[in-house]
Amino acid sequence: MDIITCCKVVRDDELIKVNDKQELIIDEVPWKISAYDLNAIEVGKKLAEKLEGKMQVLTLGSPEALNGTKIQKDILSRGPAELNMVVGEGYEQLDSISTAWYLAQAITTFENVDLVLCGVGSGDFYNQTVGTQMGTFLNWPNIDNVVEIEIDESASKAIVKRALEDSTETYEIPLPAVITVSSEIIEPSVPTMKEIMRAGRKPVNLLDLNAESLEQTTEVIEIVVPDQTDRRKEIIEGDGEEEIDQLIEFLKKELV
Amino acid sequence: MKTDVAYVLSVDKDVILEICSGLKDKTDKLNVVYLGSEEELSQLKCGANNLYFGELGEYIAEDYVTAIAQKIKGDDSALVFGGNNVKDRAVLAALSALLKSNLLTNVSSIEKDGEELVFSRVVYGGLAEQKTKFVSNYGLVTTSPGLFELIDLGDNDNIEKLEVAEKSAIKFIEKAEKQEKTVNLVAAERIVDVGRGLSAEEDLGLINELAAKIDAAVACSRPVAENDKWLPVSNYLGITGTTVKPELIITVGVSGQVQHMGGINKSKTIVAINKDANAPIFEHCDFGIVGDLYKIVPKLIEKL
Ligand SMILES: Cc1cc2nc3c(=O)[nH]c(=O)nc-3n(C[C@H](O)[C@H](O)[C@H](O)COP(=O)(O)OP(=O)(O)OC[C@H]3O[C@@H](n4cnc5c(N)ncnc54)[C@H](O)[C@@H]3O)c2cc1C
Ligand SMILES: Nc1ncnc2c1ncn2[C@@H]1O[C@H](COP(=O)(O)O)[C@@H](O)[C@H]1O
Repeated sequence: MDIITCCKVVRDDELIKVNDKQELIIDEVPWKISAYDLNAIEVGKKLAEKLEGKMQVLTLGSPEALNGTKIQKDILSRGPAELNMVVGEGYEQLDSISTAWYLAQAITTFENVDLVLCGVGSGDFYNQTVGTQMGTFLNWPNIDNVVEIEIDESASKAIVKRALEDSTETYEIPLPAVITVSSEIIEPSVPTMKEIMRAGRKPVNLLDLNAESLEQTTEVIEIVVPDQTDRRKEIIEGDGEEEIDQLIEFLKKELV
Repeated sequence: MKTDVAYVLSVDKDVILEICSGLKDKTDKLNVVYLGSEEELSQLKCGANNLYFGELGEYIAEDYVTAIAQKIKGDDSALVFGGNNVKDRAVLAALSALLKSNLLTNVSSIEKDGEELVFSRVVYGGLAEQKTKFVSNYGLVTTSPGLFELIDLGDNDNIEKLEVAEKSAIKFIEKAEKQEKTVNLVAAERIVDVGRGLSAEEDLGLINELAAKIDAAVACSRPVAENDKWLPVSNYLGITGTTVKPELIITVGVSGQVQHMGGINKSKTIVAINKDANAPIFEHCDFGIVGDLYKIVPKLIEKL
C-alpha cells in the first residue's frame, strides 16, 4: 500500500495583519502546514500503519516556503517516510487548476501509488477542488469530503463515506484513487519527541517535473481588504460579582 | 453582466432557479443541466434555451461529467455556474479539468467592469477578497447561496435527456439522511455562540439554559462541531460555515480567529466572554468580559 498525502505550506493565517491603508502585510509572515492537511496526513499515517504500507508527502510551493529545514522537519515528524517537493517561484499562489495539473504530473513520477489523499481545503485559498481536479487529470476515480475510509487487504478498493449537506453517502471506489478527506475525519496528533528526532534523517526529494505548464485561464485583478465594522470595545477584567453585574447591565440594555 | 453562453448546473433545483434568476436577460443562450429526479423536472421553469436532464439513482452525478463536458465544448466559449454544495463543486471541479479552465469556488459577488465580469471570493480565512476575471474561452464558477434574488423565469424552450457517455468507476452503495435538528441561524435575532472554551459536552446544558433565558439560538465554532461533534456541522459559524447577522451575539469561550469572525462580524452587537485577555475576540466586540465562563454564565442565567 503506497499512499501519497498532498500537503500545502501556507502563510500562518493568524499572523497576517492589515495595515492602515487596508493592505495585507504578508511578506514576512512565517510558513506553516495548511491546517486541514494535518488531518489528511494523520489519515495517511493511520492507514499506512494498519495496512503495513508507506505514506509519503507531496507538496508544491515556492522556494521561500519550502526550502526551510524547519517546515520540512515539521512535515516529516507527522508520519511520512519521505517528503517530495515541487518547487517553483510563486507556486503557492497558483490557481487551483494549475496546482492540480502539476500535482498530477508529480504523482505520475512515482513508481507505485495506490492512494492519493488531499485535505478538505487549503488554508489560504480554500478552493476545495484541487483533489478532484488532480484526480480528473490523472483519469483516476476520485471523491471528496470523505469522513470514513476502509481499504480492503489487497488494496484494490476503498469503501468511503462522504458527507453531504443533509446526508451521508457510501461509495465503493477502486484504487488507485484520489480521496479528499473532510476535516471531521480524524484529529491530527501531536508529534512525539522520537518522531521529531527521526524527522531530520528522513529523505527530502526535489521532484523535477519538466512539465509543460497549463495556459493561464484566470487573472487576479486585485486583493482587497473589506472594511471592518467599528466596535465599542468596552472590555472589563474579572469574573467577580461586580464585573458580572456590569455585563448584566449591558445585556439588559441590549435585550429590550 | 453579459455572457454569450451560460450553463447552470446543479443537483439542487433551488440553486438552478436562483442562478438562472441572476442570469436572465444577461446571456444570449441559457443552458441548464439538472442532475436529479425526473419528478422535480416540472418545477424547473427556468426560462432556459436548453434544459438537459441527467437522472440520478442508477447513476451518480460523476457519471455525467464526460457527457456534460461534450455539451459545453459544443460552444466555443461559455461560463459554467453551479452551487457551492459538495456535489456541484465536485462536478464543476471535474469539468474544469476536462476543459482545462480554472474554477472559482464560493464566489460572493459578481461585478461588471466594462465588458468583463469580475468575480470576488474570500481568501486568507476571510481577511481579504480576491477579484478575478477569466482570460480563457471557458470559465467555471460556484456561487455562494443567496447571491441572486429569485424572479419568475418562464418555460424552457427545449428539454433533453442526458445520456451517460462514460460511467465513473465509483459505485454508489447507500445514502443515510443526517438525523439532526436544523436551526435557522440566519433568521435568529439573538445567538449564543459557543467555542472550545467549553470543557465538556454536558456543559452545553449551561449554554442551552442561557439561550432559552434570552430567547436565543445556539451556534458554535467549527471545532466544536467538527472535532468534538457536540453540535451539528450546520450549526457552526464562520467563513466556511454559516454567516449570521443577529441583533445580539454572545460568544462564550470563542477565541475569535479570523475564520470565525468572518461569519459573525455583521452582527449588530457582539459580546465576548473569554478568560484570556489577549484573545483576538476582544478586538472585535462591543462588550467583553475577561473571565471564566463557568463563573459568568450561571450568574447570567440566574439574574437575567
Ligand atoms: C481554511 C479554514 C477555515 C476555517 N473556517 C472556520 C469557520 O468557518 N468557523 C470557525 O469557527 N472556525 C473556522 N476555522 C478554524 C479557526 O481557525 C479556529 O481554529 C476556530 O475558530 C477556533 O475555535 P474556538 O474559538 O472555539 O477554539 P479556540 O481557538 O481553542 O478558543 C477557545 C477559547 O476559549 C477560551 N477559554 C477556555 N476556557 C475558558 C473558560 N473556562 N472560560 C472562558 N473562556 C475560556 C480560551 O481562552 C480560548 O480563547 C477555519 C480554519 C481554517 C484553516
Ligand atoms: N500547493 C499544494 N501542494 C500540495 N498539495 C496541495 C497544494 N494545493 C492544494 N493541495 C491539496 O489540495 C487540497 C485542497 O486544496 P484547495 O483546492 O486549494 O482548497 C489541499 O488540502 C491539499 O491536500
